[in-house]
Amino acid sequence: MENQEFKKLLKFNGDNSKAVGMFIINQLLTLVTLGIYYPWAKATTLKYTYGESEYLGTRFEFHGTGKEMFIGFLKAIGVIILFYALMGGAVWLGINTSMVVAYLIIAVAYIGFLLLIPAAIHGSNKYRLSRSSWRGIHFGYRGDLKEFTKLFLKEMFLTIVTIGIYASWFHVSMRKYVLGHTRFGNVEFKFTGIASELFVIRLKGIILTILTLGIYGFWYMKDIIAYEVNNTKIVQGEKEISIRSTLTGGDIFVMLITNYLIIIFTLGIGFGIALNRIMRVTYSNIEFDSEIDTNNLIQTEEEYKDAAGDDMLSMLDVSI
Amino acid sequence: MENKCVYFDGQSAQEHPCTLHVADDCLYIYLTQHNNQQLIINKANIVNYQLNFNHLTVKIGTYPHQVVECYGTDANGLYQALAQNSVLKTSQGFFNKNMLLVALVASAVFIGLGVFAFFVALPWAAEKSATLIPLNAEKQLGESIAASITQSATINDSATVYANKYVAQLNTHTNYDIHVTVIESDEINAFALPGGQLFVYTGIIKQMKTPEEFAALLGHEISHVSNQHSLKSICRTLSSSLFIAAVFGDVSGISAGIVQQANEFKQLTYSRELETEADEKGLEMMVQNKINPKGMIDLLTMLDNEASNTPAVLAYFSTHPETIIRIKNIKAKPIAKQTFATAPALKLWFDKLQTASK
Repeated sequence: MENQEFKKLLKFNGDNSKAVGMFIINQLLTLVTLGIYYPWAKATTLKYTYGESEYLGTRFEFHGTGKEMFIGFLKAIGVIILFYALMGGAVWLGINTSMVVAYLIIAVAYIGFLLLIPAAIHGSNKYRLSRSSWRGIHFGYRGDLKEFTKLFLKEMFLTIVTIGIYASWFHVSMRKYVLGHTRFGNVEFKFTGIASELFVIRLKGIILTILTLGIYGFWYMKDIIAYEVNNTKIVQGEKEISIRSTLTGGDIFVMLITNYLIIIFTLGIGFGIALNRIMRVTYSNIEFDSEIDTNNLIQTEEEYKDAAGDDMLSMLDVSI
Repeated sequence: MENKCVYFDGQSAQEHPCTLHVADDCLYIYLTQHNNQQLIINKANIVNYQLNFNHLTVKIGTYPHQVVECYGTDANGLYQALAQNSVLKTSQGFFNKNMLLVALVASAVFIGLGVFAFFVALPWAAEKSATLIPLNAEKQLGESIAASITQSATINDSATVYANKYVAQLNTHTNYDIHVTVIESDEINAFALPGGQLFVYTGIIKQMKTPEEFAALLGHEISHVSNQHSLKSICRTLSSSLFIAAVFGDVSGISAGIVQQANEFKQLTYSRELETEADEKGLEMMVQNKINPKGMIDLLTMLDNEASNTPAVLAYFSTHPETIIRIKNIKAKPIAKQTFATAPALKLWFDKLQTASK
């Protein structure tokens, strides 16, 4: 692939007044409804970011609705209430009857919670991707929950027993599974990252960030983004499309500092402007060595309905 | 901007450039690269359509949906044509050009409601809730505040006895048991606590010339008690602080500081209303007890003179309306024109009180 000419194919069309307006309305309604509006606010934001994102002259589309996400939101809240109820029950039992039973309940609650993380990742991918389309062709996630949960628990176990050293291998393994089971019509994805490289990037990044009192953090971030992007491949039949990130540490530094200032000086109202800037900088730094053959991009996804995972993921704050 | 419409069949991402025509019950799609092959879409089969600036998306049929996307100035016209049929669903109502305007108007309304809640609804509710507090609880509150005051102040015991003998001569027209405590201090000050505890400083007693002035002071303070002014004041301050804490998350930082200042200003104007009310009710009490109402005017005149002489009184009177306005207000009342002779008992206890205060 030497001498391949890389091109920028993604474009963000976002408009500042629209983003700012959307953000204010979302915040007001979330405040007035004591947070119940949150799923609708999230749906609106996703519709906006997808709708303003363009590939080969056509915008992406997010089909999810606030109502769908609200149901997922309720399920996620139910799970969290159940978790705290178990914890509360355990404390009560610990005080009134036996400590052994209390510890047992706490252990069950934590294991249950741990099992929910892969379920949340699975559900989130399945929902989010099924609701994303471009030129009427839907994205999709074909991962198997049981298989993924087994893999997750095994990798999690290894990470715990190695006191975190295995975390890079854990991350790569998750990424390989999720991307390997992502579809865009008949287009597939794969992750070619090597875990030991990520381990070196992380080790170097953490040490230098500490030594430079945080300044290297922006360059560390750049390395991580480049690792993720450069190791993601788009596969269409025999053809493999490479992606690369041209983002520099300086770009990230300038973007984050200016965004921070914008948000501070507009008392938070400028959040929409900051969002637009992030999208623009991101898209203008992603390059592809070739295009998808759109004439042979064929619909393959079945219809799918369930939003529980999507909210669970944001509530647990797991990013993958 | 170049007009461009593209049809996607839902099976592949292949672009089919097209032109659109919206009829009453149908949508006609002409595929320009296929000899204008005509697709007739019954409007009932349109799932939804939306306009995102100059970008129209029409979703058709069951999953996987066929999609028509139009860019450019035509998109607006086509959207309007589709919108004329109300049966059709359009999604994303917020996504229009006036989003920012809507947001600003909504913010203004929201802030307006917040201001209304803070300055009107909340004080009203706080005062209503103050009247619901049982008399016993009010007395207990007053007694606990009184206890903390008496701990740090010097009480003039004999003056306290005479002051209460004076009060016993009055019909106070109140449900509260009035008890006066005289504090040894040159400060020109007096205040009322919830439940009937009054505090009078020897400084203010020394400046009085007639027994009527003391009656005026008592009338004023007793009406603060009867009308639960202190309790209402406490409830208002409490509810304001809670509101600020709820809105800003915590009462710290710059924004909270600004709001805190606004809150104090509000307390100031609130107090003025109550002081005026207390003056008027105090005056009524004097007349009902056949005490010369001129005492109120004398008291206020004395306070006014003292205020201009000594800066010490400024602190207390900063919350009182300008004394001249208060004097004018009292003089304007018809009952203030009545005259009565001084009752001997009042003179007796007042003289003893003044001697004890010297």
